[in-house]
Amino acid sequence: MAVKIRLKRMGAKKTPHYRVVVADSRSPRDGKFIEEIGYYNPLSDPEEVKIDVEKAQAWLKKGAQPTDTVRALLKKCGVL
Amino acid sequence: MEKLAEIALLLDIYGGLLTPRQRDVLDLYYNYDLSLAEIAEMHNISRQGVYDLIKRGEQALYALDKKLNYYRRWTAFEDGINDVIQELERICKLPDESFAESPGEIKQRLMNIRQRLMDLGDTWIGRLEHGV
Repeated sequence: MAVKIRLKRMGAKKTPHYRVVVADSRSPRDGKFIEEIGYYNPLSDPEEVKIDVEKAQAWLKKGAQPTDTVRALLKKCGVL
Repeated sequence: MEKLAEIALLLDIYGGLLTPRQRDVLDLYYNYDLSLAEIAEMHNISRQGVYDLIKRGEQALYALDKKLNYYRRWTAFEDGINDVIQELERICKLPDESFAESPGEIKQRLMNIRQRLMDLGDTWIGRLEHGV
């Protein structure tokens, strides 16, 4: 089963912010994930991104696949 | 990246007006960050089918917002409420003496808050050109 690094929407209605999580590709809605490695708040000004670089690199090394959005965030944080 | 938050918000506001299928696919794509291929597999449809559902769903959201304008109303409302909260907090932090020494100034600031709240009411009702 593929391990992905993806965003997971958090927060109340109408205030989107996201966790960056490492998760199995299956059953995304069950709420389970392997590890949280950061967060992303697109609505704050300027937008807020925080990623644990070491954890991210460790997961990438193990072959975890980031989604396109997460890939962009990782670039922003200098992980990629 | 801004589109992500924009669509997520529009989906919160107007999601109930989409078809259940459009809503579900947009939810998986924007709130759970699944790829087209993953969604296609979950729903047993083609990747192209998922793409079409997403595009049509996005168009429906934009069309609804163009008519109803709740995205702008909501962000203006949110900003206004935050301003009012901050101003009230500033007033509460004033030293006790200033309430006795310059009541006029404090009354004026409270009246400004009152005006701001009335404007926000207008914004919400839809008289945007005056309220924002």
